Amino acid sequence: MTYKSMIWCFIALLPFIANSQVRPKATPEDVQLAKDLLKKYPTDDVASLKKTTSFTFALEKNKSGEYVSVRQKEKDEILQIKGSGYVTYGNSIGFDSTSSVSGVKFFARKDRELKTFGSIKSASYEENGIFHSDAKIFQVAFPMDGPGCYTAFEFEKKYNEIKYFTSYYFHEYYPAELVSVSYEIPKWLDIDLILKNGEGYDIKRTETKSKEGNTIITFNASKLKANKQESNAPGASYYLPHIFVHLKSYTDKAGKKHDLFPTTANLYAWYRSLTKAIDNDPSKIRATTEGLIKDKKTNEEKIESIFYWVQDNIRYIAFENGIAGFKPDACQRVYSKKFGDCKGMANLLKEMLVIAGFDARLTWLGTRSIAYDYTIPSVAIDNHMICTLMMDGKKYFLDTTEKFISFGDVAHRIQNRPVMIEDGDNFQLATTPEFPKERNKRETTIKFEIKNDKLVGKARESYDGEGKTYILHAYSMIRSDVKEDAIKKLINRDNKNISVSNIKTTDFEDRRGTISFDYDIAVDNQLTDLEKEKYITIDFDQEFKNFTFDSTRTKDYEYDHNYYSVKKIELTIPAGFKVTHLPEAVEKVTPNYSFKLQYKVEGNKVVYSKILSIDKAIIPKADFTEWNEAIKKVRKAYGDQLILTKI
Amino acid sequence: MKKCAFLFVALLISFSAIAQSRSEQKADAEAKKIRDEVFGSSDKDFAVTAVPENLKKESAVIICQKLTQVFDKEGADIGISSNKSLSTTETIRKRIKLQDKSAVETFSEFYFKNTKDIGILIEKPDGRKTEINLKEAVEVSDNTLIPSIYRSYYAFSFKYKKIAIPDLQPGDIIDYFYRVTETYYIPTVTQFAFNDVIVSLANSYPTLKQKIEFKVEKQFYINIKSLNGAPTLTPENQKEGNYSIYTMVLENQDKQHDERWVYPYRSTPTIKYQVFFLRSEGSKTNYAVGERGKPKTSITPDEAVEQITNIYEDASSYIVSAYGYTVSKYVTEQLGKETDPAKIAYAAYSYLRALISAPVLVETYPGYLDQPYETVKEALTNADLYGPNNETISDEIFTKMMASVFKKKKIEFRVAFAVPRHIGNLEDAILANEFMWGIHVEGPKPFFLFAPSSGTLPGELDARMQGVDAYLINPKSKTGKKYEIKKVPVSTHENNATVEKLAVTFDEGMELATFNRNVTVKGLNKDPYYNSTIIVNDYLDSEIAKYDLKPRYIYKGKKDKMAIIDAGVKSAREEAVKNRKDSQKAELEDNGFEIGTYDSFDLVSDGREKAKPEIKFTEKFTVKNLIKKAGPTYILDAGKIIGEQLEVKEDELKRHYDIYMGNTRSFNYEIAVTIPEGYKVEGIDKLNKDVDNATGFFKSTAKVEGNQLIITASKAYKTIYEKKENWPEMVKFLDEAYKFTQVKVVLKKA
Repeated sequence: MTYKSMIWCFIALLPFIANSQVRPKATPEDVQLAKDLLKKYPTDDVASLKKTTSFTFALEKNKSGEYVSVRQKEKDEILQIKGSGYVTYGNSIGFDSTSSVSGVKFFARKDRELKTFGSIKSASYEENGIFHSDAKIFQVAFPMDGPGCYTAFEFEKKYNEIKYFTSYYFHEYYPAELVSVSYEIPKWLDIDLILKNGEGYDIKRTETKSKEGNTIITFNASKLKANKQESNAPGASYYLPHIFVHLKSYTDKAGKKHDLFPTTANLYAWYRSLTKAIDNDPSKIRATTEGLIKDKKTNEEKIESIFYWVQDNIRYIAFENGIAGFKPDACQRVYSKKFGDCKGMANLLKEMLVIAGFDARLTWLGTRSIAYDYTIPSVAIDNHMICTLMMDGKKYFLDTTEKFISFGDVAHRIQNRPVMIEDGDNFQLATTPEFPKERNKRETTIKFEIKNDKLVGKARESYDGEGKTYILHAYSMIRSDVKEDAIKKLINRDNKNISVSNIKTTDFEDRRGTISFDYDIAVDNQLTDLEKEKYITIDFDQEFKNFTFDSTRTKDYEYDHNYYSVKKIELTIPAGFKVTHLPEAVEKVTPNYSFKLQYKVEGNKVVYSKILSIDKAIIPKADFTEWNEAIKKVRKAYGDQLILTKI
Repeated sequence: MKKCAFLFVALLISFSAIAQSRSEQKADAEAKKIRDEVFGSSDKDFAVTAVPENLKKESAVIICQKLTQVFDKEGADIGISSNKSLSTTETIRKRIKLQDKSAVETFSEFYFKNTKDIGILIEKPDGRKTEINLKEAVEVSDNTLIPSIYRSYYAFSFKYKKIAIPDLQPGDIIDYFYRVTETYYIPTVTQFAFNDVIVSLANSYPTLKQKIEFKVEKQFYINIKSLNGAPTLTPENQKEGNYSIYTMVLENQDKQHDERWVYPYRSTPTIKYQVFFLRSEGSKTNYAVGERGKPKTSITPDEAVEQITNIYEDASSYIVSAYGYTVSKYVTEQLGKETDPAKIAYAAYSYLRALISAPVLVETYPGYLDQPYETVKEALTNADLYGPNNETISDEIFTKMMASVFKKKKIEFRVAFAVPRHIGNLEDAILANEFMWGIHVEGPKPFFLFAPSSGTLPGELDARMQGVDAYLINPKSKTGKKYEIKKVPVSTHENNATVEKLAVTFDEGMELATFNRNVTVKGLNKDPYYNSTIIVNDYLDSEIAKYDLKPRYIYKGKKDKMAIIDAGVKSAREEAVKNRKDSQKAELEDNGFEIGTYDSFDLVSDGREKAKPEIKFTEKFTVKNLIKKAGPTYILDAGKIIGEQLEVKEDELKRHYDIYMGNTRSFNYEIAVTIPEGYKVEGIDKLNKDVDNATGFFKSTAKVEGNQLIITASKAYKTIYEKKENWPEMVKFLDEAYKFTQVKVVLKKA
């Protein structure tokens, strides 16, 4: 920082300071209110006194004809409730190419508008894994200068396409005394409003008529706690109360009725209109497809060669821009670009399989993060596309975005999900299979003996399911010059105490069955050698050792997939020694998870076996206390040692 | 009337729309011309497709990379007021063979500066070439995600675009270039120095051929130096019209290796260059330039001294005269007629050090403009952004201010100029601004002084300067010896030492260990503690008063704004105290401790005064899992009490580059573990370690005294530089320290 720039700042700022508007000081009533609210919401800096949201609908016209627009008008009254000092309030409103945000205003008490106040900024919203999208956010920020400070802000959001008007969530990241959302539904519009996850909340629905005869439906939600961001939480549609909008139909000014999504068939019809418009040119992919299957004898071999080719050669690069978020790119384009999003990849796979003589269909679905099924049709149900192969009366769900997944396997994130499969002008509903935890089995077997204070022996490790696809994919993406080191680091856990050698692996190109590693292992610093005793830790992995849940966590904990690890370690007792202590066994079996650790003496060997499983990939909040207790026992067992004493 | 206005506006709009589309077309045509010129080049090295057998296992191989840097001028040469602009145009072209999926992934999302002057060509193994249509590129909203491989040597632009490269597969060659021009308008100056460039030529992939070409207009002068195996210019005197062309070629270059303690400019092929413009040949210049049309590849000490003397004398004196007076005044007030140079230096140095922190407050207020309290709070709590450790006074201003004080006090001194260690040696200096300035005080006890960071004391010399040669010059003296070269001393590991005294006790259930930790840090080891343990306004208020540095607040006279600022400062301090505890706790957790509770932190000394030069603090916390029940006994992770030590992993054992460390340092632990009543301790012999060699040591002892297990441990890095051949020696003591952390002892019933 130079002195010159310091002086420059002095000069440059003077006019701005003169312009900024001063907000009135907090009133004694608001200071008191802040104190009262802080008792209710002790961990929050600000609270909403009242958030009022109203939705109105209009018939509008543009070049392509009449359409229904939706206007959202929202005002949130914020009060700072905590701290001796200052906080910045910040929030963001999402929009995209089919919607817009405008009319942001700030108010002091008595609806006195604050001009030249706060900051408003529009920014692109970068979603992880999406190369480019039209999603943007409108960022609103303003200062709060102490408890009792009141500021309201208002904005308008317009949806130009009613089909994307799907839901409204009551919660914010701060608590709210009252959230009032109303929908003024004109007679020409037929929609249903469904309250989801309302149980346990104080949410009241009322219905009135406006002067014009419009139906006004209002939901008043009282005393909502802050919705805190927590890692590994399930999708919001599973637990947060929200209004889900069932868009049925509207009648235009000429009196003609237009269906939106009154039934699932209408949702399919829209999807179908988009897929019909794909200008697929299968001739451009025929030669490659035929080349892939020419030497393949069985159907399974043919399918595999095509499925794996798409996995290996088409990179996932997603452009979610306007209708491209819903309409698959043509097969020949994805083929020639060698990249595409899930829809483009599913479409390419389908076309290739069709060329090879199979019955393959485009399939819409929502991944596990979405709670909905097709009972009430909406575009919010689906966020993914795969290809379903129909063969011998069975359905195979093929997702080429899951790199290295084998034919017949289904990734956890799309297991047990309702899907919509294309069937000409009709459609089929089905559910993807759910696999037990054994799909993800990781098995480790080690035979140790003690040599020069080290544990030395031979080991075998194998992975299946998600662990396997993860390793195969990661391995394929690692720079060739460091691949060997990477494998070593995977096996020695990047732990200086563990040396591994003579590593033999299964064929990493083969995605069927399990992958395994056989290797020699030597582990240092696991043994404390006293004159007459040896204290030994033979389990150096100690999974879940520190995995406990904080008492403040409010949401269930969801793993990326279910988990199943089986470990068996044998240690040959050296001549002249006997076992004088074995760590206690731990056995905790519940429907959601289990931990089983056991030491036994069998002949001249100590045999340690450990089974850890997370059966449904989710630990419900109700299980947290019990889980923490179980982890405590596991930790104790990990900390304990095997004691060998001289005979 | 209104109608007219409307028409006029409409006309303007349509006119500008046409103009835009025309200029767009022109730019497109120009861009195409550039693409044709670059891709149409007859350079055979850009036609190579094969990669040598020994590089087949590499992820990618750069077949050829070429940087072309043109230095040019426009406008007439007549008189100093003629219009004149200077420009530099950088073209970088790379031809890379992608050999695996990782490389394909790296280049499949391609980033480039928002310019039309770019081209990307994909060449398939069968020779098919496809030029990528850049119209499908989209803007990048988060620049921090842009991989470094796409950044330029010379220019920096904030707007980037990205494109998904279609049909890219292992075996393909990606051949791309971009061109960036920077223009400087200099209607009146007689001399101009372009930005100096120091660049390591190492790439993350092996490079078969790397070419650098300078095309320099005849009125320019170029200084260039090749280091660490970088090629020299060949041929030296090739002309093309008004330009001289200089090229350098580097062949069969190894990829860059990722290692700790590396200074890339000292260990990998590196070039430094700078181009100067003089309006007329032979005119007076501050810079050490050679002859027109002939690159200057070294400067003699005499030239270097002359150049830095010129720059020193020319350096802006406004700040110096404004503050120099105040500094001298303060020194006189404090010391009266004192003549001891060390005392005078200390007083002036402390004043300037306080000055570094003081303006932080003033300058950062404006950040959010209408939210002054937010910025004050941020300034005081977010040490990473505004903390004292990140504030340094410019070495030029420091040197000139100290010089003015010494002159007034009639203390004999010379100005010191040295090249920082991470840049290179003194004799390799070639750029105008490569030197850092300082002061060398003469007399029976001579000493160096370099600009402080806001926590240092005068003897704690900037690590970048330690061990380097410095020119000592007397700028005003026209007679006598022009300069002397003197080495800046290197501080010892005893100078830069941390001492931890740890008292460890266990709770009754033998589950929790309570730590009373007493830490004393001195010398350069204090550096990381400035931010983590010291709260700026704990010392700032008193120092601002002491040195009369009260900032002239921008809100002066506005009472409500001042109240806001004061409240902001108060709240910021509260938060800083809380944050300090949190960050200390996090620091311990990073160091391998499972913290149960973090109970207290007390700063005993902030190390800002000569009389109390150490940062001292005490803290109390509990640690889980340090002691564990094993059958009838307890196992204590005794080695872990000193915290985690560096793990030299298997893949680090092979060393490619020499070892450069910031400074020597040592870490010492004196540990007293209270053995619970009724227990005895066994297995402590493994806690005795002793590896000591020329590079450093790790030594430890353990004994039982009464009911206490007394452990001592010391680790020292004795040197700041080691040849790569000595790496195994370093590994010996580093490994010994790691092994120590793995030692467990057994507590048995007595």
